[in-house]
Amino acid sequence: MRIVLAPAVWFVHFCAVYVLATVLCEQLVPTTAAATLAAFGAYAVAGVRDWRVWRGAPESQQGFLSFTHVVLCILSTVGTLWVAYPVFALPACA
Amino acid sequence: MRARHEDLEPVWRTPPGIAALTGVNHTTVGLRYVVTGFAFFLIGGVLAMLMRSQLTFAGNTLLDHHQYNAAFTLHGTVMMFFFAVPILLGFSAYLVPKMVGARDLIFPRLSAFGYFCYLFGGLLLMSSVLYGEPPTGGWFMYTPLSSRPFTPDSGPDFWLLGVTFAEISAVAGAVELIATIFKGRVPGMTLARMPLFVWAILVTAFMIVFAFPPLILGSILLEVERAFGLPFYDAARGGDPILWQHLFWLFGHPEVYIIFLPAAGIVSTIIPTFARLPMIGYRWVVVALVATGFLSFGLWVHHMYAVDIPLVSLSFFSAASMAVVIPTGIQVFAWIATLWHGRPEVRAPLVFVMGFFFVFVLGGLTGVMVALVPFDWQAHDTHFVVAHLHYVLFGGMVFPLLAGLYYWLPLVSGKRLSDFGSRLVFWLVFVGFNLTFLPMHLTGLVGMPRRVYTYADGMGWDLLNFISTVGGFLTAAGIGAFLVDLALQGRFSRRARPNPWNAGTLEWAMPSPVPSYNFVSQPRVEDPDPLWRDPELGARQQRAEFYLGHAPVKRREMLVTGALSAEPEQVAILPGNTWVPLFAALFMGVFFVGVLAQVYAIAILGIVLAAGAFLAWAWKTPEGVGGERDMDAGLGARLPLHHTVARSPGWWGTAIVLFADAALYGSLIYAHLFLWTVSPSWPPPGYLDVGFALPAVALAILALSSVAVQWRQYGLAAALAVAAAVLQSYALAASGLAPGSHAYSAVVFMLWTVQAVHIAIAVAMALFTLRRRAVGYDEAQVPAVTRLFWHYMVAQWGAGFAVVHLFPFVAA
Repeated sequence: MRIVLAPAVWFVHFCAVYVLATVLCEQLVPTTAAATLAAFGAYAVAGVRDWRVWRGAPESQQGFLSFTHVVLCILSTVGTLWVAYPVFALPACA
Repeated sequence: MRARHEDLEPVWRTPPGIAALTGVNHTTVGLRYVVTGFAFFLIGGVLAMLMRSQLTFAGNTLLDHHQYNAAFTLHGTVMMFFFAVPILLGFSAYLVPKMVGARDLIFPRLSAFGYFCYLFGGLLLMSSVLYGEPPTGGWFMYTPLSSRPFTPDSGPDFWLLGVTFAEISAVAGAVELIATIFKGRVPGMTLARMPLFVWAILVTAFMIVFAFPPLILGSILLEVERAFGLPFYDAARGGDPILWQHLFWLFGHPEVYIIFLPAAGIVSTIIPTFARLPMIGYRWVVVALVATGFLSFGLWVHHMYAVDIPLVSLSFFSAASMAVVIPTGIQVFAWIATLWHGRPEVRAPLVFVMGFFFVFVLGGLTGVMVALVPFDWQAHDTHFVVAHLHYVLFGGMVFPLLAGLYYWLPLVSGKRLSDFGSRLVFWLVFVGFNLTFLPMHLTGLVGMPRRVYTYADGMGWDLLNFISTVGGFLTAAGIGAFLVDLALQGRFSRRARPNPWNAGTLEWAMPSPVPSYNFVSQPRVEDPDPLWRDPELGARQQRAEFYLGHAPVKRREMLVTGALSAEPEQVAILPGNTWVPLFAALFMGVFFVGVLAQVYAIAILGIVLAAGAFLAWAWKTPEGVGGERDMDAGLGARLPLHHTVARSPGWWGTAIVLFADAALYGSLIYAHLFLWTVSPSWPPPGYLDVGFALPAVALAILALSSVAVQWRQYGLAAALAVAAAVLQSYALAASGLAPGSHAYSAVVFMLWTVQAVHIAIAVAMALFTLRRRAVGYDEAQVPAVTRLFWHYMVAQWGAGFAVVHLFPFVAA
């Protein structure tokens, strides 16, 4: 069930910034940046790993799941970026 | 000897007459869901026509404001909870086993129980009309309007109890579908070969498991507040009405995708069949389904833009709403590409799919508009939103549903379809729908608010409303024509040949109308579209060439395979027809009616009787004491029977239930944390003094019980758990927290009450396991399930303990 890792990270990041925005104000930008970079790191590690599995055996079930997860990593990267963006675009404590 | 129809039918069929109520077969139960769901669709439709009639002219007096409130509340509630979700669950219950090559859903009694819960929940809700106190607070039942001081009548109680009853059925259905999809696929059907409809249902079922518990919890809290005065939503005593909105929409937005994804699965089934081409971008569609499933949990606040929430928080939800466009777009383009590259044959189901494209894409576009905070503030609570949501839900669900009904009708009835009737239905519904809701965008943009029972003339709303009403009745005529078409085809159509659409999926490998056991022998598949690869598969499985095709047939047997590998693992012996699910649901009904009438003796009686029914259910499993442990499943496979295996389907089902359970407890913890963020002081002054020592000892004892259970010392574990419960209850009572005095103590009280219920269930399971062992059951399934639940129960209190006893120090 590794294929849900990327979207799960997206969800955890989403909840994290939602909670951070509620309880923090001044420190929101650095904490969000840290959370976002951590999420990106997770996508990169998992994505590269599954890319290799997929290239190794594209037609197997493992290859299918790995391909799915690679695309989910990319989608989650976009989703994470979009969710984090307002923190940097809006004035502090908006 | 090879099995034949005459061998299998007597064992699997649902008996005629009154005994049909004992039927647990998924074909029977699935059809019941679909027929009942359609009946609720007609009820919701009549309510819609009442509202449209009232709004035809300015100052109309057909309905007064109270009746109009009841009409829109019941319309929304019925359509969402009693039509859309159950009818799609019915579709899934009927089709998923057939598509994965199984003989039944893996927990047949649970399907029957779920259906009765749904039926009784619907009857409970609708009985409010006869009682003269229908709910009037909107399908979202917002507090504080739905709290006791502002709605003293029983309307909200009917809503809360009826909807919760039906939601039990949705969660039961989801558990059953997930377990069947993971463990019931025929050999060779790896995840990469699973039909897209089944993928869609798998994702949807997981969404139900996580999305319904927040609303169930919210409803329990509101009912407890209304009945016993615990102030969860009462601002005067530390609660917050906005908490309800969060819990409701934590459910409510995934709900939209819970309705849409199965419909998308129907579309992904129909398009390849008529394009004569395997789905282009199969893997991408799977990605889209999984991504949508997750993203939909990050959208709930976009229903709450007009609530006072910081702008930066709103932006997160706006961004997530934009992100969900990507996976939806992937699916739409995959569908277009498949049609483009194929040689589409435009038959009735495909016509409805075309209608779906047009309407749903328009709804998606207005969805992007209202996902933007500034635009939403303009359009909020106007008829623009009504138009948008109907484009999404009617376009995204009703059109695919009609497409699916026409597509699978030959499978159910064995009759051939005439295209004329279905075309007439399509054009009536399509024109009628657009005539109703396209002008309604304008009605909203020129300022007409939602949920008003009338309006003054000269506001520029008259003509638009008149057109919408005409369109509404045209749509209703279309649905009427559908029923007539159905009756005529049932009566006059000729017999269809097997697989009339030349589809590739397994459900067409059986004769129609389908036999009760589905497959004479369970085939092995090598391809996502097995019937395209081997058109003889249907004939071969009927000649009993595959698994479990032996005779004589004495019991209901079904192959259980590996969740990922889809290789044969076990043989499940499924239970036959029984009254137990009906009585279990009836006793639950007694409980709900008791709560509704505030006669708690009746409620307690109901819960005791229901517990008895559940024990009888669990005890009377089909495998007896001792005897057979494995059997020859055909094709050289000798497999263990499921009760001898620790990772049996029952273990899987329990694991999935625990996800839902964790979501419920997590929602309660969320409520606690949410109230902390909005309260000036949380815990309030004077609440810090809950003793710490006794609860810590209780937790340690509870943790010890987990060790005891792992060592199979069920009696000792039960004793330890009871001791821990007594100690913890004493500690809370001694601390003098009065649940009714403040939201903080109310939430703490609930955190412990829910845990205490879990301990009681765990103890009952331990005693049950002991008793089974004492009478000589030689099994691995029941002890494994008990241990799993036990460890979860202890871990849950670990979280509960942290929130109740550690959190106050952190927060202070």
